[in-house]
Amino acid sequence: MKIFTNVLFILLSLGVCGQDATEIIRKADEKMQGKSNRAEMTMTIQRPDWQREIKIKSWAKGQELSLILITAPARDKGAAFLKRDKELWNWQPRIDRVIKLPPSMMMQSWMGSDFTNDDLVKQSSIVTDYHHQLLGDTLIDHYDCYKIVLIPKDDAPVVWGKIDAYITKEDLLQKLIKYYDEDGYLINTMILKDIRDIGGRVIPTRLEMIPADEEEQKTVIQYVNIAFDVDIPDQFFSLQNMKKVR
Amino acid sequence: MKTGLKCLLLTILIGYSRTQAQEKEIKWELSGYVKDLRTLFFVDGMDSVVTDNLLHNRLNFQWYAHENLTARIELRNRIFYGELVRQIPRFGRLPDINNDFFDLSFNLIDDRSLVFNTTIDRIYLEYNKNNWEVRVGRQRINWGINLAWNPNDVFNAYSFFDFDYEERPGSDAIRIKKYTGIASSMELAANITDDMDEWVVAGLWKMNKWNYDFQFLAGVARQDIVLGSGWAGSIKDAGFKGEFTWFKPLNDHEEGAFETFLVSLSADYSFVNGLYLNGSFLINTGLESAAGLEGFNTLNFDRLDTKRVLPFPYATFLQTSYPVNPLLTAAFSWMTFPGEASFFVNPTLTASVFSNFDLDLIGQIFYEKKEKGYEANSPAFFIRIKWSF
Repeated sequence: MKIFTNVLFILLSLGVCGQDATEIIRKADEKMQGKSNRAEMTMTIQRPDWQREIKIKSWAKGQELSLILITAPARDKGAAFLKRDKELWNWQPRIDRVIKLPPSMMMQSWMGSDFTNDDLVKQSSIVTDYHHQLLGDTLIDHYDCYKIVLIPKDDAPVVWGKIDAYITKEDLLQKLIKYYDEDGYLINTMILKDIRDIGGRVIPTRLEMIPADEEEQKTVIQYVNIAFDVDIPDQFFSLQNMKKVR
Repeated sequence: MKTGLKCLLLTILIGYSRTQAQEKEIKWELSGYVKDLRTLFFVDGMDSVVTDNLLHNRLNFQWYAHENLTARIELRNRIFYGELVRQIPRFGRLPDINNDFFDLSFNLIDDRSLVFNTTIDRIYLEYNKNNWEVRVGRQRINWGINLAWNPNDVFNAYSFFDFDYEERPGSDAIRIKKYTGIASSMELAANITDDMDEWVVAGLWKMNKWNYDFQFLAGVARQDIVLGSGWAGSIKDAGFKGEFTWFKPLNDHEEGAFETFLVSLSADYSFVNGLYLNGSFLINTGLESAAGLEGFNTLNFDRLDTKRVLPFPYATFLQTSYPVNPLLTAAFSWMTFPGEASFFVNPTLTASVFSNFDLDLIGQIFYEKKEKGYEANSPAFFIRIKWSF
């Protein structure tokens, strides 16, 4: 009996270890994104002396389509960002104008936060824009996690030199992501917390982005609600709808 | 005067009832801001500084009347007071401008020391069904692409120097638009007027190809045949935008008529640290080269014309901005005019003091070449606080 359990254990661990690192990243990404999703969240920019809150509604479909609407504060309410593949537009209702943003804007801070435009509209993909390699495992916040290193592909539209992703073994959830520049210096750390049931999935509902050189500052995204695999037609992600969506 | 007051009260009243309606299904929305703008003019040849104050309230009211129908009213209430109001005879006529068919500008108070003006600059109905969008009423028809100069903006031109009116004026017009794709559309617009000299009717076709937005326009604008095009795209990681319009007078012998080809190209780039650069130039082939700043005297800022947003045949523009921190942004704009005779600088500091509460420090300084080198010509500095709701 003991031999049997030992054999079973070895077989199981082999199975898991042999699981392709790319497949782990793909599954972890799918858990957070679904085929499509619709969400409401609150972003809080935190600094030692002050904080600012931004309320957001977002819609996303696959890797190509994304729409973000700001619902608060009043100053920015109604402003929207539309991404279709490699193009990014910004709707400014106050001046009644759609502004096409240059590609260099992707790595810019989004609304003064520690997240970039790319983090929000997800132009680059941790699945398709990187080579993945399983480096081992470690314990993060009591969760047994895989450590996977992501190295960008040659032609990928990314600025990071390397990403370390820590994915929980049991549910394949992103737990910790470390972003390094091309010289190998740590730039940002994202901690994913508050794993609970939301929108029918058990996922982290709180994302904290912490810049490496500014330990006292961070930006927190807290999901208020999210629905996965909702039916959103492609036409939803249009310049026409960006101006109308509420 | 009474009409203006009624409109104001009505809007506020309806806005309040919106809070009553709360969450269920929001049928109407009220937003806007209150701004206080203090101006310091250092007028040439005067020992003291002239101050000017403007208390400015904007109300944006939207009523979602029906699934397909939205009504919109936006108005600006402005109270002017200070030395400038007292020094300029009949100051009240300055804000009380009406360039449109309907006179929706009202001076509620017009004293020697205080002027209270209410102007409705948007009032329209919008009908949306499937891919169609029809707007009737005073609206902004914004066809421009660039930041500084917009040769394609044939309906309502704006001046970069008029920084305190970011919404820009509207036009009494009818606009019919059909969205033909995700980022493409066709539209036809005409302003409402009983003066044929002021008539603007034009069509705009927008399309998206090779990751570029393209647009083509044709029509008649204030006695000129207009043909133009514009684009927004990128070269590598930098944004690359352009607009050009050819204005050909219907009658060359009309007084003031001139043919011109207006071109403005721009490029912009954002560095990872947040530093933003925007460079642009404007060519206006129909204008003669003017030395110095006298050319500005020929402009009518209350009634800007796309052909004459600047009185020069060419100009260059450079803007840089940098977020010192998420609450503080520093920016600097620099505009040069022909012949090295003059240039314009515009430093600004924008601070978010609290959520929805901003403080701006703005400088507008024209320099002119004199015998001893460049001298500032009546520099103006502005302090602006703004509360948005």
